[in-house]
Amino acid sequence: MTIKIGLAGNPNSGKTTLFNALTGATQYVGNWPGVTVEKKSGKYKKNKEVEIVDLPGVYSLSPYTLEEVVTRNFVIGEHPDAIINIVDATNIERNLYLTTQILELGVPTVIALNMMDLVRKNGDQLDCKKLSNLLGCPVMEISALKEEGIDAVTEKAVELAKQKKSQNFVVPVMEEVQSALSQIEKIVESNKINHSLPKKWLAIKLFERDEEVIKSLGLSSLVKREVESCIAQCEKLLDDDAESIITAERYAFIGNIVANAVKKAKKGQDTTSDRIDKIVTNRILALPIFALVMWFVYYISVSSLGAIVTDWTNDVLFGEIIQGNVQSFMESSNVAPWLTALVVDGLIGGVGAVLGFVPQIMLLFLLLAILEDCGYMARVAFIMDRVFRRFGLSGKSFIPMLIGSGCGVPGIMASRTLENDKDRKMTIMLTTFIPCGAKLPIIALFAGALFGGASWVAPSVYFMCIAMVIICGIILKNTSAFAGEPAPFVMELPTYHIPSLKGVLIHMWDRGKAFIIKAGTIIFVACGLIWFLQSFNWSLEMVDADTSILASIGNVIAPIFAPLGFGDWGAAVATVTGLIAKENVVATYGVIYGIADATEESQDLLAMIAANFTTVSAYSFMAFNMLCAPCFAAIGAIRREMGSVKWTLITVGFQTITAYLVALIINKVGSAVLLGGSMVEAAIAIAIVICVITGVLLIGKSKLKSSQSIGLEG
Amino acid sequence: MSLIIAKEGNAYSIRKITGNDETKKFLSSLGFVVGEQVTIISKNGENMIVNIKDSRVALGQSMASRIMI
Amino acid sequence: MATVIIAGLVFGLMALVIYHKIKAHKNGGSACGCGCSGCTSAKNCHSKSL
Repeated sequence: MTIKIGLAGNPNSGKTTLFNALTGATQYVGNWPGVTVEKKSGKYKKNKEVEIVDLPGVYSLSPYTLEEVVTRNFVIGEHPDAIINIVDATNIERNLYLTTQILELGVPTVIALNMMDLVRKNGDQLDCKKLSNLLGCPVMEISALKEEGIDAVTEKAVELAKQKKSQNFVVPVMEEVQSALSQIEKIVESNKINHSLPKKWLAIKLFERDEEVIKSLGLSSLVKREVESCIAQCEKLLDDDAESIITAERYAFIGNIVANAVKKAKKGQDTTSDRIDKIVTNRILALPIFALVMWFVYYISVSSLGAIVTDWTNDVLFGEIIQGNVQSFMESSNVAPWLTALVVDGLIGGVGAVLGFVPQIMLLFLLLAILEDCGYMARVAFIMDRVFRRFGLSGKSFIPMLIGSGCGVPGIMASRTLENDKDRKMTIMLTTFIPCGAKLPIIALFAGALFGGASWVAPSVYFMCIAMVIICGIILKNTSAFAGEPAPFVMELPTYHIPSLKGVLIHMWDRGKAFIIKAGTIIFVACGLIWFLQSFNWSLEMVDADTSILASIGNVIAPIFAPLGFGDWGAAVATVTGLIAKENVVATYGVIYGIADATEESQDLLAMIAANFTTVSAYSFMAFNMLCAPCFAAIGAIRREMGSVKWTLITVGFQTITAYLVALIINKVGSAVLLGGSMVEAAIAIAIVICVITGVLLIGKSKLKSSQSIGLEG
Repeated sequence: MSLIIAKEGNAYSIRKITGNDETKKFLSSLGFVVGEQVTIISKNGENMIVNIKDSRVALGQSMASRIMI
Repeated sequence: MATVIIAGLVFGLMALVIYHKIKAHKNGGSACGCGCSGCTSAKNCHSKSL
């Protein structure tokens, strides 16, 4: 008989850490709201009969946000056998606000006091026994991070579940409130309202005018009026609204408990986190510090450390060792030349080119994981809020973009946490502008080939992408579709802590592994296909790449890219294959240029790229590929999150056109300024872009005016 | 007066939170209730980070302006 | 002879991959190629909406 135990608690209280420790899962532990937006379940490692469900972090059980409703519905609808309420002991007062609401639901509950080690370090004292007496349920200390006490608390929960003793907890309230609640209870009983909810909890919810509960009960208007008169009476007596009354009662009760069971050490000193925050969020230093941090991340992973390892991997490991040896092996085994070419040039050349970047990808993921885990990323959302608000977005929109710097798909899905629909749509449209892990090889490849691995290239691309987010954000905000005030910014900032080495390495390895698997599967197949297309012509004879099927297809598309500086069939094809997976851009080049003639004449990938691009066209190519439509997986996610094909097409179209215009400007103006290109063409390019932007703004504004006159809300 | 004019480092007692919507409820679940002490840790333009009930909450300007001290 | 063996290997692998991917796609499987747990859990491959 399975026992179902729910893990409930505030965001950042350690639920998911506990969940991972108990179930052996490796769910991601994020440091910002909305990381867990749905419940997740797993089996208790030590007893497979016990199912543990990780619920989203909530501050209360009101019916307002998705997370709260999920948590609430789980407890009411799915009848867990017990609940482990994780309480962050370092801010116990706030945490207990949720606890009182959970206890009222009647399900047997155990309170797990997490982070007690921090409490002791602060010099505070917490009396668990007193707490337990006052709350009427077991209270046990744990450290989810150090995995201490977690089994004891789970066993206690199981014990309670087996006893099936439901809690009988109510927050003590004032007379006036109590009489109103009793009246409501009587109304419910006498009207024989059908429900399976705890009576007292129901009364409180009705008193608070809880929309969800009222809806689910389908109360008649007569009953509603009766209840309303009770509430109104009480509100008049206490000169306050019902919800605030209950809130005040809860906090009063909690205040009492805390006064009794908690002894605080000297208060009023800034904690270490506060001191760090003072610097990191300082109005003058915040953005430069962020710029520095991101520059550092990309510098280390792409340019310095990363590049060294990647160079070796590409040239030596894949070039000489693998390609060389496989080739000689196959030739000496009398394998047909076409197959040798397929395997050596196509598969190893292509997949190898992508795998060559694994060291850089791993480093990037490692550094990003460290940033996320230590708590800095939450501050970044706050810092960026000032910038983002200028063009009408909340700083919370930056979080999906941060996630997107790993992989675009979870970034897009993270937009779910934005309550405002317009904010959400806009965020989805802009998220994939930020280079994801798969786009990194493109930057690294061109940085190495055309810029001698200069350290400014990768960070500059990253900042260009952020700039585009801002610019496009401003443009979009000025159209009717997105105009309106962004949601106000409120976010709890977790304490800074040194990320656990194990956690960070697991992260890095997870994403790195996914990258490698993707290379071995999707890209593997794609390379085979590309090799075939570039080795044969339409009559299926083996030819040079320039007269192949691929080239002929590429040559049809290529002219579109000519104004951008890369109008050759290779670039066109590489870009298009990027739709399957952005790594394919590099892989395709690896296949096309994967000449493994083991002679001194053999030119490696970098040299071939260098021969086909100028510094300007290289940057333009990178810009286009960073900003254009993302890979199919991401497009799929966009469709799921947008909920309509129309918006998906708008998004993809918007991104690709933006990419085109940006690349156009970079190429034409860059050539004019740096390479003695035509000034006229540069001027035309600028003119075109200005026209497009003006056009969009005009159309957007006119729609805005007409909708405003009809009085439509944003 | 509203929280946006408050100075860093001092503890203030919340007198009122304007408005009567979901945002106010959310704020109260975070600990922003009448009578509670709030201290500004750092101000970044119109946004700020405050200490409330031993936790650290970042507030945008529109939020902070609704908290009267 | 070696040709046949190696060709068989290569194409067999490809077929396996394609088959796998199509099956995963039908089950709403990992669209991104990112490992599920590795991604921030805002990603719900097994999209069970509310």
